[in-house]
Amino acid sequence: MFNPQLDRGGALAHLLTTEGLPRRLLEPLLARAARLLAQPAAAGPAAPAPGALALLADPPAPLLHDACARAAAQRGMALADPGAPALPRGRTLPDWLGGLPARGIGTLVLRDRASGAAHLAARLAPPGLRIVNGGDGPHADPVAALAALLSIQAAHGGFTELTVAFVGDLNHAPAARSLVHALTTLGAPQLRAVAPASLLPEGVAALGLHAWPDADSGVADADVIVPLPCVDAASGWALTPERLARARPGAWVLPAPDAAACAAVLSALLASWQEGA
Amino acid sequence: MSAASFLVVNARLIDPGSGLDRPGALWVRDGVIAALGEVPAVAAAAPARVIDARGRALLPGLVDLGFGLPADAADARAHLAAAARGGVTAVVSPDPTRVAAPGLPRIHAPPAAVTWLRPHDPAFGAGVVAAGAYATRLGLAGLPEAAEVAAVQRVIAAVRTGREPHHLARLSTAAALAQVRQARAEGLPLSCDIGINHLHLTELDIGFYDAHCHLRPPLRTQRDRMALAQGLADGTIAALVSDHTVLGPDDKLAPFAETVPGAAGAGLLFSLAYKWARDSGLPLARALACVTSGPAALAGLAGGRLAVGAPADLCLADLDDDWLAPPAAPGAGIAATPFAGMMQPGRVCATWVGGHPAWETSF
Repeated sequence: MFNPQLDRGGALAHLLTTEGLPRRLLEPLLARAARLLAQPAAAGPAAPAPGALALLADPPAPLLHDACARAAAQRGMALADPGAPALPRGRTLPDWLGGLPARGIGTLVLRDRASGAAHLAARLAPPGLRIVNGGDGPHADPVAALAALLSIQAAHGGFTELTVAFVGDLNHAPAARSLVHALTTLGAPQLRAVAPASLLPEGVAALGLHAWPDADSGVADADVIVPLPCVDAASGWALTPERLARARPGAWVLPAPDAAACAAVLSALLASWQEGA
Repeated sequence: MSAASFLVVNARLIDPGSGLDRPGALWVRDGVIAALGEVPAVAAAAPARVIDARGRALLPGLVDLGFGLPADAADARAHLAAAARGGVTAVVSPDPTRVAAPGLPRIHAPPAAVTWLRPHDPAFGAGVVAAGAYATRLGLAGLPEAAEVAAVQRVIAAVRTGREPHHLARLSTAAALAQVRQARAEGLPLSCDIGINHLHLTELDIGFYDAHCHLRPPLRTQRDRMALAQGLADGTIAALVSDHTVLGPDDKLAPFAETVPGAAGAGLLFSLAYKWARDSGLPLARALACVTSGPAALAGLAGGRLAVGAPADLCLADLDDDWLAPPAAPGAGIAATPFAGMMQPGRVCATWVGGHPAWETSF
């Protein structure tokens, strides 16, 4: 099936989503990012690299900006100004994207309020411009998801024996949604959507999630607990200290993504593209 | 003998209204069908233009019950010309524009005696795709089928009370169709139509945010699509329409939810009706009734049939030829259809409106 983030040779042309991202691409990317996270200073190339990195974020994303700056420095790339406050709409969009390579920009990290914005940019991108989805509305945030995978891998060593509980509203948690797809690809045996029925996404089973309508049992025997937004403390679904205290020993709450891990992911991605260029 | 007079010989004559499907000739005199079946002696003797339609089908011009027109008259003519290239000779459009020009499809307003509406209850939100697993996957707001079902329920209740005829434009769900079927079985004066996109496509065709598939109502499931096809075949749905939407060059160049809903459909109606007949094994005359006699009767029009005395609104098509729907370049409004870049079966060779050529190509 056509996959808009792969080129004709099956290599990664853009990073748009973890859904359908093959294991053969995901695992080496993760391994490389893990190495870069452990030794970021030793990773950079000797000479400045061509093709600047640019971040276009609407709304502004300080953490992502920090990550992009670190990744660009690691790869010997400049961090360029994209020259627009947000992804243009309408007839100007193809022209604007088409002008980026001429301005020395080879990779555009894009955060947008609308689902599908990165797919649109990738479809219209000229040769020589790669798109990285830095978050498109509620749809996906693959960079943050890959950063989360690095954390999980560091804490648990792997993914194939994990029970992961996503607690809260998956509809408005793009990083968690991308994490679900990646964990499915990597063989995590049980992913739970722990939420009241009103917050469960429609067709949750099609995402590879078990709907889990009870917070206590959903959390109790999970290896990884992923807290999501929009869970009202008064609703009885919040991850309270009492509820977490009843989780089994070794249960681990996924921390919020940090800039270093996101930078490692971006750096690994840029390195693979630099090698393939 | 005027320009609107000619003789078509050796054609496969198809009149969906009467079920006629046989070889023969058709004589047009002064914009009206003067004879059909055998070549009349007077026509054979007259020095009129004679068209040898061997290997081609001659049918009534298509009547498109759902055709959006731009406000600008010159633009409207371009859209109508595109419709004529697909065999359309009359459109029903809610838009106020009136472009009277010989050789262009006729424009009609919806019949005044019928309440014509699109069933949609805005209380169910502003979803841009069908609610369900696929909407979740794409991170797009979903519109539940209840938005259509609730509106149809209200219409049926009103029809049951007032007995005034209503027409439901662009049904999209199996559940709403089931209600319409039941209401019609009660004898209520209720009719409905569907668009070509909903006959052939489902939500899965949205793929990776293809904005050409951002439609209103949204594309729905395969189960809905099959139910609509069945409803069209059994006559519950009276008409298949292009649902041609006027789109500007900016309208589809944005993230999916921000694009203008709708798709161009001018020029596709014949081929997509024919494709449906071919794919489903339905007799061709029966399928073509959904784009000729069926909608003409609904709209109270004289066309949509091959009959002596009827206006010479005609479509000549090569059923064995395919054509390529032009690929849609970014910003190309009139080519912004989900079928852009796909081969379409059945090529319209000529379209006549009142005997005047609206479209003629080599044949």
